[in-house]
Amino acid sequence: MSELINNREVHETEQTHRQNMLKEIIKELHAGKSVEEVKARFEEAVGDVTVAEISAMEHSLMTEEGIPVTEVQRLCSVHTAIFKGSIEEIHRSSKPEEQPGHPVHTFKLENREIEKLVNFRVELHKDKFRKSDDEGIIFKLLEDLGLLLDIDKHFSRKENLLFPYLEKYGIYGPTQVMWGVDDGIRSMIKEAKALLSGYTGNREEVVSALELIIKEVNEMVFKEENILLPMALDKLTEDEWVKIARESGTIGFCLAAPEKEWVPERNPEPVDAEAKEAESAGTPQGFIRFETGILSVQQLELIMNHLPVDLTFIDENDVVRYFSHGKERIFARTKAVIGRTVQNCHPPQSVHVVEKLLEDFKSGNKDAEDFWIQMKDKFIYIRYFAVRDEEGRYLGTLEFTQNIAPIRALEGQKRILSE
Amino acid sequence: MQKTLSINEPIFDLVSRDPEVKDIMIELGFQDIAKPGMLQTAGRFMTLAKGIKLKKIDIDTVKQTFRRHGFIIQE
Repeated sequence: MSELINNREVHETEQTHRQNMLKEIIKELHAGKSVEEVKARFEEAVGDVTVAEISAMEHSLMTEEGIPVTEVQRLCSVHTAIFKGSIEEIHRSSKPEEQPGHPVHTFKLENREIEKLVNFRVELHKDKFRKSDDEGIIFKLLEDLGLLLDIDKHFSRKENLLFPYLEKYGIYGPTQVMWGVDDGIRSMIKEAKALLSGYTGNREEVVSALELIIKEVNEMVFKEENILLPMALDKLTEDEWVKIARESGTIGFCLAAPEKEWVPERNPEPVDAEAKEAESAGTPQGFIRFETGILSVQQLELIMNHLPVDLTFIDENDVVRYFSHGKERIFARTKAVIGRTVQNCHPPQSVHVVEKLLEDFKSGNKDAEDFWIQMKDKFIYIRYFAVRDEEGRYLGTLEFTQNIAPIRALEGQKRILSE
Repeated sequence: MQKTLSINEPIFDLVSRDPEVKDIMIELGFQDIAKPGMLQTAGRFMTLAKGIKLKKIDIDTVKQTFRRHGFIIQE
């Protein structure tokens, strides 16, 4: 509890009487009296003081009077009995997650819009479609599903910004399971869109696809708000929420966006100091001596970011160490992935592919592997290289991603003297 | 012996007190509880009441099943 009240001053004179009464109550509890018996006296002692005051009193009971934490915790159970609230409610003077801009506030804001979209629009259009599958209603449903695809950003923020912190606290299972369900919903929406855009009169198939989407989306909202977010609020520190809020814009928002930047009530300095430190660490004055030349750290970083490719490097323990951040990254990366194992940065469905590849690199079976995919007007060439030292020891993997559509489109020749 | 359960108590607490609860829940269709790590993490926030709402399982079915195993569910 004490960490929640680090910056509150206690006015000793005003508090002394109350503290004495509280101490008496603790003694009585210690002597075996029940909560019921001391309830009245507790109310008298505490009266209508603010929660902050209670916390401060408890703190001083612990630090100045040397009353052990366990004893003060007994008092908490008395709070609970009297105020009929949870201990967390009592000890949280204001709820940061209810302030606009807090990542939890934003997630919930988006959820309200998502609910409106699926439970009103999609539901209504689905019923109309069931009665008459004319072109107008198909168009409306396609429009709705297009909007709903935006849920990808909501999910991505959860997977790439929130999950890494939960993993830091040892929570893996639920995040992997949820990621799998997210992917399921993504593909359901895409499949329903495909069914509708190539509509061949399979009315029932479309209706049941839409019904499944509505059900799954609602369930996900429920799971996020009843399990995931409370669990995250329980684990993450305020500084971590600040970091998530700051990085959220990189991925984007779904149907609703935070109305303002969230500034925690308490002095937001720690993060600022850290950010400044990180910034100055990004442009240190040093030089790096390579076998073939010397570069300043700034030059090196700029070179990496000017290469027309996206680079990501994971070390021999599969931990993401670095990614370049040029102007147009093909696959979004956020700083939260740094220090995270690569297995946890991929959707569960494709993890086995990544693991097989790393296995082949580590065993020396392979030194490189290429993939290529068409994504709208981009043709993406993804290359993986095993990075080895002179002795051939595996030191990590380099991912090299490039849009080669413009290169594939080249014809004839353009020589330096052509113009 | 009659054992009582509260639908608003975290699943983690219920199962810690009586491991049999886990098997009964799986039998009822709460499959996620069997997945690794779920009980220790999400289970601390998940209650029977939330599970019933989420999975849209009939509360009477849940009560009957628990009763069959010697439990009574409090609302």
